[in-house]
Amino acid sequence: MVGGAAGPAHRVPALARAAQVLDALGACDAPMTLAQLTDRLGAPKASILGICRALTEERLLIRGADGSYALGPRAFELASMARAQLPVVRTVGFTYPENQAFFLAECVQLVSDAHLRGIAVDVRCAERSISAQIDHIERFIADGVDLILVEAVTSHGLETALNRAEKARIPVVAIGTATSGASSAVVTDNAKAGSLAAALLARTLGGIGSLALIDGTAITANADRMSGFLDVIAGYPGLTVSTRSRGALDQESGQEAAREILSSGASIDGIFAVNDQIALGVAKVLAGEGKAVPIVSVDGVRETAAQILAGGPIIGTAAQDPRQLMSSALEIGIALSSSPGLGQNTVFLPPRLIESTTVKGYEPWG
Amino acid sequence: MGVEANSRTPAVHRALGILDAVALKQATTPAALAGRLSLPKSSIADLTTALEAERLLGKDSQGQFRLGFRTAGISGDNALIARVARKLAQTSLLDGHTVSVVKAVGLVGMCVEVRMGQHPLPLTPRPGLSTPILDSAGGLAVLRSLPAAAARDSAAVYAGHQGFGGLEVDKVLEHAATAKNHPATGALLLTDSHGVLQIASPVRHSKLAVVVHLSPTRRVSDAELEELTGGLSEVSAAAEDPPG
Repeated sequence: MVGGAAGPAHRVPALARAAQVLDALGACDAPMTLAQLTDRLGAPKASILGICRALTEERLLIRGADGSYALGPRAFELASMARAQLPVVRTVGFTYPENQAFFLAECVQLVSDAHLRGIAVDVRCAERSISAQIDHIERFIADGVDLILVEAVTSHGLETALNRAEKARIPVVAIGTATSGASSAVVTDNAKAGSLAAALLARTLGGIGSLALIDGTAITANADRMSGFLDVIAGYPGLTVSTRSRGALDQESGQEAAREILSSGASIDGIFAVNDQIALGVAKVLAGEGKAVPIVSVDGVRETAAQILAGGPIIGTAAQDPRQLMSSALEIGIALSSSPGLGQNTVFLPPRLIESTTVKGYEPWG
Repeated sequence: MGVEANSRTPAVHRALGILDAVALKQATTPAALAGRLSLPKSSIADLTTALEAERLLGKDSQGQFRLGFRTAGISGDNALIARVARKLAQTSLLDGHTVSVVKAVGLVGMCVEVRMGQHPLPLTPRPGLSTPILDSAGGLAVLRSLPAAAARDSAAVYAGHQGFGGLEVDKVLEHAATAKNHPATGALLLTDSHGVLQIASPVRHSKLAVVVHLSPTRRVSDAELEELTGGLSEVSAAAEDPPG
């Protein structure tokens, strides 16, 4: 409780006590005597008596036939007027896959946006576990949050939990990737991101060469990036895909994928990785092997931007903006809460290609 | 404020003056509050700082004062009432009707929230309005929904405060048990002392009920009554704590 036993952080202690008296009576389905209130709040009897008298004069309390106190009519009036003035969304739950820079940037943005709007947030990390994410959603429902934001570990697997959210009439906005069961989604236009990366690589190679593709976790965002990449490559008969591999959301998985590609013996002229972490892992292994192969990817992290500025081997990344994703998701979630009939929709935010000519003006998010 | 002159806690009265002015949007900036309440700006600054620290006052996205989250919660049951409001916004079955949320407080039905309808009523329900429970469909519906011992305890705990005895409790519980039901939905039907037909559906595991108030001048067909009680049951079910 704010202004509780530790004392108020302001110069009007009587207000802290008054709020405590109201809290105590609001939480208790029974009237309380002065002695009970004094015991509960641990304050001098004379002080509580003065507060109770003032609150009774203001009709926030009523004093009963036996001298006990209960909430008065003005407490109900004020509470109702406060509900009318407060934003429809008062609490937001956000669950995200892991403590990786992209998701942490989303968390920071959520806290900032929520603070400006006076919204309380409950932010939880799933440590890559879909079952943990299900637990988070169940917790949000039990706590009665007004809006759930989900950056899903995988695109499928949350349906049952999200159906329960729907039954509890809590809108759910998926962020970053379409998620089965969510009311709405705010995602980067990942197909566009893949196509931007592909066009850069094709230009760099002069439309001729052998490519390695490295996919990521099983989310629609990665599938869309790969699809967008392949659509563009299909227009270059001189470009062929000679090997494919899969990573996750970290550099180690990129290193493993790079070693797998090297061990295949295929001749590689260019590499597309579905995210920057994989690309950075690949670049590290190739550098260790003394190989200079241009790499393109998607995300826009600081380390990738530094490589682009230094001339490679990562030559470009289609940057998405986690801050914009989160701000848009919160806006849409608030709109869904206010107008529940808004229905299913997906918002695509355009990515921005960061390469040698644009990297200087780019401010990476993590 | 008249009650302030002899008070030992003038800050409480002044703070309530600020909350009133903000609630009614009469003043939502420090300068406007100082002018309206005839207090020095430094006093207003101290009070608004304290009210914000206690979350009784907040600011909107334009920096104007509004009532705070803690103020919304001082009457309790805030999450439940928010769920009722959310469901009411989603359903069209109760459109145009006055709908209230009523809490059973001893032998009183206390109105805690209202969504006003289009048809004038002889007595308009408003938050803070308390009604003898025999004239409150919501209060009776709550008592009837509780197990017998819990219903008795719920009423009796206010006996000393509201000044009634065991005989009155017995009478009320008997009245609640025999009150008229809607045959299809089980909603409690009561024509109150103003001739208003109140239809109440309790929110399980709580002391609240959702109530529709129908003007004495309105004639309601059986089909419409069934539709209304169905909509009401949906809203009260939506207000229940979701299963964990």
